[in-house]
Amino acid sequence: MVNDGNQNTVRDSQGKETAGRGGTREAILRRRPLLKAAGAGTGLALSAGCLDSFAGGGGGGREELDGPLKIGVLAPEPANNPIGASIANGARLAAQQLTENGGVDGNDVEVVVKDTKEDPGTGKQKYQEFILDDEVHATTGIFTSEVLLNILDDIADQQKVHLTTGAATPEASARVNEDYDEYKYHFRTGPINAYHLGTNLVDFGEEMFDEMGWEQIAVLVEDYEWTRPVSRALDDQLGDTGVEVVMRERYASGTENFTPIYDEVESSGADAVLTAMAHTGTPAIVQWARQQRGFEFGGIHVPMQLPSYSAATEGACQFGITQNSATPTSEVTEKTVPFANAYQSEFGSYPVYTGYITFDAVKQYAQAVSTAGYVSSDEVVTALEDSSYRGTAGTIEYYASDHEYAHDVKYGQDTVWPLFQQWQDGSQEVIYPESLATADYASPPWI
Amino acid sequence: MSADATATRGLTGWLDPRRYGIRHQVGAVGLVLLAFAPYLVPTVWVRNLTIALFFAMFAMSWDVVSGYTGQISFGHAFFFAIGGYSSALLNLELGLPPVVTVPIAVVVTVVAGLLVGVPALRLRGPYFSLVTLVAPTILLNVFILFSGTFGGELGLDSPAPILSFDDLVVTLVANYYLAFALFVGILAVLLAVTRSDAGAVFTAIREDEDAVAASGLNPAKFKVFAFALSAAVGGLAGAVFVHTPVGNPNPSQLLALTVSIEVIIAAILGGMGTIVGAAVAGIFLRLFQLYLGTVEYVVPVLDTAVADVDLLLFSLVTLVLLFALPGGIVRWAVHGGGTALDNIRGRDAATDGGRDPPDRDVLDAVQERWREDVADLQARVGGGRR
Repeated sequence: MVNDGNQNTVRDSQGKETAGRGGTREAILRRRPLLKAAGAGTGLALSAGCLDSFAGGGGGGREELDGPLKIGVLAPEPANNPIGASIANGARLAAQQLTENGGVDGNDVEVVVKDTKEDPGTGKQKYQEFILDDEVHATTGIFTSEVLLNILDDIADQQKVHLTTGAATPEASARVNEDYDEYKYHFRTGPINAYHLGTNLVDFGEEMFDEMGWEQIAVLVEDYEWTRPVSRALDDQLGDTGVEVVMRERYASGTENFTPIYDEVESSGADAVLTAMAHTGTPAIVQWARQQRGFEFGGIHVPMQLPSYSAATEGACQFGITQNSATPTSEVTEKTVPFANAYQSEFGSYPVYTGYITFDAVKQYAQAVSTAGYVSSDEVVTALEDSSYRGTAGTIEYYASDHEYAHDVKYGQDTVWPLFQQWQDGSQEVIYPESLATADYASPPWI
Repeated sequence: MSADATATRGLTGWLDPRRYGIRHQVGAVGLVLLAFAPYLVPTVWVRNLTIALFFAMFAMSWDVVSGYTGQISFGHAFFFAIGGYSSALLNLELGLPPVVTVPIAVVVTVVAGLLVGVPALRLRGPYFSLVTLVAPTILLNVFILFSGTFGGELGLDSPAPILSFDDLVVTLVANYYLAFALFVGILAVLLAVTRSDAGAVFTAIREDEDAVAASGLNPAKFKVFAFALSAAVGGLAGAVFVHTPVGNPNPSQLLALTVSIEVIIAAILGGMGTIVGAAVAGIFLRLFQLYLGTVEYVVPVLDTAVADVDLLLFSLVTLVLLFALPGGIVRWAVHGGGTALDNIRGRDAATDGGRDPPDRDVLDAVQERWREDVADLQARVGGGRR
């Protein structure tokens, strides 16, 4: 059992990749009993690939595409959550462009969007609707790690390719690695998995902390599933950067008042806080700016990736730094800016990171179907494994089945290498990597 | 006995034999329709009906304690969560099969229910409700605090399924029948209990607790019994729920405040203190909610799709219904149907002294008692300056 709920330690007591709950990996693998009988799921090691269901045409021999290519998109609150809207619209734009350019071997590409409400139960329901009602060939999207984990078994059962474009938990890739035949249909097109997100923070730090004058840092991480591997990566590697970690805190999920936490940071003498925040990011940055706290602020901060965030927070995010997949003006690849502009003219706003990734996922999937010559999952999986796709967020390649992070997008300078942006004068300026930098790091004036 | 008389009155003439026939015919038709539902609706709706049946069980479990005794519980989700989480954790951590974990979960729920309920039931009206309001909040905070064990705000992984087949459609249909069997079982048990002498005492407690005590019966004992029965039913439904493809051990499905509130709305909308009302309204409310979530129609003025504002619309419709039918759908239908029959048969309904108008409803009785309790309280703390 892992319980690092409210302690300042971020050590996963098992020190391994598990989601930290729901028991052992064996228990997870036992979850799909062979027999219908109640309780057959005890003590049985599963023989993989025991399914021969032809329902929906998954896994049942080779099948050529005959009619439109249908992709189901699972997005959180696509009507009012920028992350969900970017997933939905990124997929729509990709399908539209593909169809306009002759489709997949002459067949149109269609996407159907459904709302997960960031809720595991709803996510499962919508996934099953895709299978039963919409008869999709593959699915993409999913922002919340818990939602993804809850439908992994459905993905395995249905044998439909799924390309994750938001959830970062390495648990999904661990399952692909451990039970390949069962879970091989899952790919993570982006972002890089949560452990690599942490690794990337350290890589950024090695290059930049010195220049930025960050010698003593406080690590502030929100206590959610996705941040556990981030914390682990920071614990493993932050020592290599030469900075001194004077405080570590995994603060409670749903935290809204950061005053006591910031008091503690200030008394620790930290130059800056290194963050991993998504759900709780806005009160954290607003209170930091309003209270003009005596330390600098940066790391992973998902809300700050939103191009309209400066206006939304009335400028409170000035001088905040966050990791990001791309910004509307950064040429991560030659495809990044054209996509951001096309998205803007189509939907009236710029995408956030999930938009770039989902756009890439739909296009890469279509290319894989085309390359394979078949739409049946097994053939497409092979094509995706061999694929090297130049997308808007980098070059998308996947780790092999024997890799610890099987089917996760490869992290590296030549594949996917996130950038770091700082909000300056209401715009997202890239400060790292050097090749994309548009500005130097600037300290907040009150420090 | 006076308790008997009040029971009859409170139940809109449940014991009036003249309307026994039609009402039960309608009920039987409804059950038969449910029994054949998988052959009548698309598969996605089989899934939705399964969810609705579980929700109806939740609503019935609330009705047996709050609808009958008038002790309004604002935190019934506490039971569903204890049942669901206990069964899921036993399965995930110890690898026990659902056949073993579900009964254990029911026992755990009853014990937890008694731990909260016994002290709380010594309190009346608002006090009791406040305690029940706090209980699930505390539980949720425990889940968040020990998120390593309980999975925090987003819950646990799915435990082993009770029924699982290679084909998704077969799995969903099988689980529908599992839910249906459980639903019928719970309905039968609760009807039997509430239509017995114990049910009459429950109702009497709602009408006038002091009178029950004066007649030599111990109201506390009956309230605890109702509470334990309610906990057992809620825990059982919650435990089975997490082992089906439609349910997960997570707060949004089992523990959120909205769960507790929706259960209350369903029971009141159906008609407090009828069990059948809670079942019928529970099914329809949940189906309506799920249907709204699939409507792609874009509302012209607001420029948003119905599916995106489904919860808002759901709440509005529910509110209107609550105002329109304070006595509950079932009472309204029975009474309206009875009156209509009387008219058809040329009888003057007014001569029928054995029936209350439906507006003399349970809500009024409960409100009245709350007012008395609050007045008492004000008098006691000397704050009553009116």
